[in-house]
Amino acid sequence: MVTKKPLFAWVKESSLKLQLLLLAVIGVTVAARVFPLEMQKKIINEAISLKQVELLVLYSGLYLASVLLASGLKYVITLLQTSIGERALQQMRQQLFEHILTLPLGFFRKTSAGTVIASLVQELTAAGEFVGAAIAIPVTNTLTLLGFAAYMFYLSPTMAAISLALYPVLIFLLPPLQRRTNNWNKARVESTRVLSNKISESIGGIHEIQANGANHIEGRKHFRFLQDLYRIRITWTLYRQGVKVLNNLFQSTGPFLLFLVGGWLAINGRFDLGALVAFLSAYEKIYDPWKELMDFYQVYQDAKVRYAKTMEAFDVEPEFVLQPAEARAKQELAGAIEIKNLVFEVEGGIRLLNGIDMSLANGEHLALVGFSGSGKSTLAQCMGQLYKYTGGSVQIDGREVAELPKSDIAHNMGYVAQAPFIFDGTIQENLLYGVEADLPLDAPRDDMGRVTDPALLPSLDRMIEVVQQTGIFQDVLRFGLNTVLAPEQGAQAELRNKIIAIRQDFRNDHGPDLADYLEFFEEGRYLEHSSLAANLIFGHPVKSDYAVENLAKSQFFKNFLSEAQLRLPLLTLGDELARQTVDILGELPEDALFFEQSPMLPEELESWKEYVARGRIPLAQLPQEDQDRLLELALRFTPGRHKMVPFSRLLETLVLEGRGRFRTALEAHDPGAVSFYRADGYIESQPILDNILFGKAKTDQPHVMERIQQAIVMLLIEQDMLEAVVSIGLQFRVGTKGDRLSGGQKQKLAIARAFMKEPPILIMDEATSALDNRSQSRIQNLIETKWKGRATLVAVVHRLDIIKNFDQVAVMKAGKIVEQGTYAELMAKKGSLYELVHGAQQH
Amino acid sequence: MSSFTAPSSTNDAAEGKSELQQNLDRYRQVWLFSGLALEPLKLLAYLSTRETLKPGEPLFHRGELPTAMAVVLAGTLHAYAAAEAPPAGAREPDASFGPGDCVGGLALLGKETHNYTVVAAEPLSYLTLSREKLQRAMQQYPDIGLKLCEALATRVSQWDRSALDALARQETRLGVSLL
Ligand SMILES: Nc1ncnc2c1ncn2[C@@H]1O[C@H](COP(=O)(O)OP(=O)(O)OP(=O)(O)O)[C@@H](O)[C@H]1O
Ligand SMILES: [Mg+2]
Repeated sequence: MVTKKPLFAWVKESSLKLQLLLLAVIGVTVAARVFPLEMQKKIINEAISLKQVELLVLYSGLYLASVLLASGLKYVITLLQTSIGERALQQMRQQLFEHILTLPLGFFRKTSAGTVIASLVQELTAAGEFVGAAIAIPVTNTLTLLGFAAYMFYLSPTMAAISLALYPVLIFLLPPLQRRTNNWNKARVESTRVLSNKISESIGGIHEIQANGANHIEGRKHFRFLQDLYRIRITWTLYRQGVKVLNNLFQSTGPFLLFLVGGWLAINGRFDLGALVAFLSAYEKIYDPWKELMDFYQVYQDAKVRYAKTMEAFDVEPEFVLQPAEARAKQELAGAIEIKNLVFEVEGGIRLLNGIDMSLANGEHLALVGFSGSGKSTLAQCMGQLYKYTGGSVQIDGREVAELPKSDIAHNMGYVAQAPFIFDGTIQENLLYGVEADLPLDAPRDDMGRVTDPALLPSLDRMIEVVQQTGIFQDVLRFGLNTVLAPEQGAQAELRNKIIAIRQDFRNDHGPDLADYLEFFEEGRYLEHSSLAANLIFGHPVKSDYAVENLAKSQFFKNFLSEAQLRLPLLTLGDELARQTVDILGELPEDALFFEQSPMLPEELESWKEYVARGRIPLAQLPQEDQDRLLELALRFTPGRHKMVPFSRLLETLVLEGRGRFRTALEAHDPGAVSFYRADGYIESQPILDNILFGKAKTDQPHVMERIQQAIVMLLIEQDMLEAVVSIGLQFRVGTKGDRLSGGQKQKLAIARAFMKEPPILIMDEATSALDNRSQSRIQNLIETKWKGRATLVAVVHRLDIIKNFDQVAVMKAGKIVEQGTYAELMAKKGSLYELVHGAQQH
Repeated sequence: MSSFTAPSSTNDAAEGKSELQQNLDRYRQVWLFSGLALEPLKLLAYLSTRETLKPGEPLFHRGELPTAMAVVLAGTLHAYAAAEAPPAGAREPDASFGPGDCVGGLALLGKETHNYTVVAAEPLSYLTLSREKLQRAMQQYPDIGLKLCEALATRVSQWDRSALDALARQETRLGVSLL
């Protein structure tokens, strides 16, 4: 298990080739570092004193070459070191992440996502850095140290002994000093915390302080804490700087001894001048490797502690095996479930499940009901191998669930959780998630783990079938209808023609009925549900210069705005929109839902916050860039949707007038750059739906959207286009955590994801709780007609109106099944179920 | 057709107030939101939309899961303890709601289905806030949940007291789940 790996194991595991290469480079580097000293000596002794210019040039050249070589090699060492370190870090993160994914669910009740992220992202970096440096730094610097020392002994053993004698003293003095520095540092952190608490108290009690005029009292208290902090910080700095000064002192007193002794020796002719200079250089240079070794020791300490802490935090055994020990085909189970005296005990000796017995033949359907917190989900999770029960047994076809590998369970079970999770990606990706996971590990897959061979995956027809069965069809269709067709999709030319044909039929068949809910693209009218840009242009850009996002930068358009007297009103509008949005959403996360009713995009919020923070500046004096942004924001303004600013009659009139002017001006300036709305032309910039409506829906209230959609579905079917639009809808991206889906849509998608696998066992934990009645009965019907007898179903149910047709009903109370039988039996008995049903009706 | 351009009260429009500000003014008078600080209330007002119903059109049906709450701006809503509303005028509604009243806020906090069918008795305009948006707002301002619970506890207690009085006068009091 990765958490049991010692830190040094990563060093051993890192690429041997790279490490050997590293050692070779280090060897050369050390030589290249010592060599210049010898050259230095020769330059003075031979070249200068003998006045030999050629020698001077030769030695200087060699000196330069070796210095260059040493720097070059240093760079190579760093590269090697980094690549070893980064590779180790990558491995560590990956292995730990894979380990974390196998940890018991109970572990995540106590460990937040934040902790996991911090561990994987931050805490391990120190360890990675260490692994990279683990060989390079100590070997390079020790060898360099030894190299210099040896060279010094070679020059003069006496002087070498004298100068190196200082280092043991340093080793003796430094550690205690360092320890004190550390202690004072701890005191400093603690004292800062105390001060923070004090400040926090004052701010929290600010009402009381001001009401009592007690500023001076709080001021005094604050000053007391400040004084403590002052004393501690001073002492800490004294020690910290003391260490530095001591180091420097040794560094600079060394030469003093050398001058004295070396000079005396030189005067007596026992030591030549070149050697003395070389010796001084060597002495000076010896400090660097020494310091690097000291620093490395710190890195090592830091890495060791953080690595150990991180690994310890995740040092938990997985509860289940992922794959069978020996390679074999997955078990095909029939789905008979037998539970005997099942107990699930958690910390504190609490039995969440306490002696559950039940038996389900394959294909039988069980409804699990009971009060909130009675353990229904826990029981479902034990059956689904999400929790490891602590006593008794759960068997499927006579095999103990706890012992089966995860791959077998996943192969045979569809699990819909109480709060299903939807992943970022398309509807289709989410739909196929279970199927893809169940395919063999060695199936061809891309970088994202998605199976690339379509033959292995369900067909589009099959997907549409499941989408229809689970009732998410309408939603997917809506996503499809709300898609703006990509321009390069040439094959969709036919699609476009059909859409225009539908537009005519829609007008004829449904126009009058639905007129109240729609706003058609009419020449003489301001479109409240289209953007201001669309109202001005009243067409879609053929040239990208006229696309809304580029419009504000187009010189032609800006000139037009000024002429139409729209520039200042639009700047003012943009300014107001920015300020209002920042006021309401400024402190909130960039959640797409919050931004639906503002023209601002979530990712723009930060920069607009800065804009607002600058205060009010006359708009005409703003930098050009800001003016462009304000215009862009104003151009997105859609009065039917963005309600934070009033929309004045004046602006409406100006824009309507501008519409005609713009058309005339553009035809003269750049004919054909914009294709104006025409009842018989496809509007590229609008989604399919708006192309069919040739207008926009005024509201997104479900009952209205449903009526519109019903009308359209018939027409789509006539044109044989329904599947095409649905398959476009399957590519809808659901956003992080499925944020762009409603709760009901998420549930339906989760059910579809489980159904897609056609498993012999289905566990549904309040799977339909957020669905409207129609969707719920549709799924209920499907379960009764399609799955009864074919798949064993355990359904936790909150709404008791749907349990009549289940084969068995079990009522749970405080971790026990208090009643079990058919609905009719239990109702006749007038026990717990009866109470639940009637209790629920009395509210 | 005219009923579909949301009727904004003429005064406010003349003062140049944005719809958001008007919504906020409304919400400050709704008992359910009493006790909310201005920032969360502003967010709720911003997330709400104005919608309309024609006479006879339902706001929701009995047995449906609550998906949104509504605050009446203009018009009247009638509630019937039945799966379908009776034809207009056929019988007295079990409860009715006018401008400023809030319908279905309590339901958003729980998992229970509606006990009443509520329909527009006259052209209705109302402010509506979906469960989804309310929940998302609550995640940002957890205080919202707490304050709504407090407001509800107060209201239920008041309801009970008035029900006791009504009992003494032998009247019936229905519709607490519509709060
Ligand atoms: N691993 C665990 N450790 C400690 N407590 C747990 C664990 N799992 C669940 N619980 C607690 O056990 C109780 C039963 O939870 P469970 O989710 O099974 O109830 P439920 O019947 O499904 O309720 P609901 O209708 O609200 O979904 C809850 O109080 C829950 O917080
Ligand atoms: Mg549960």
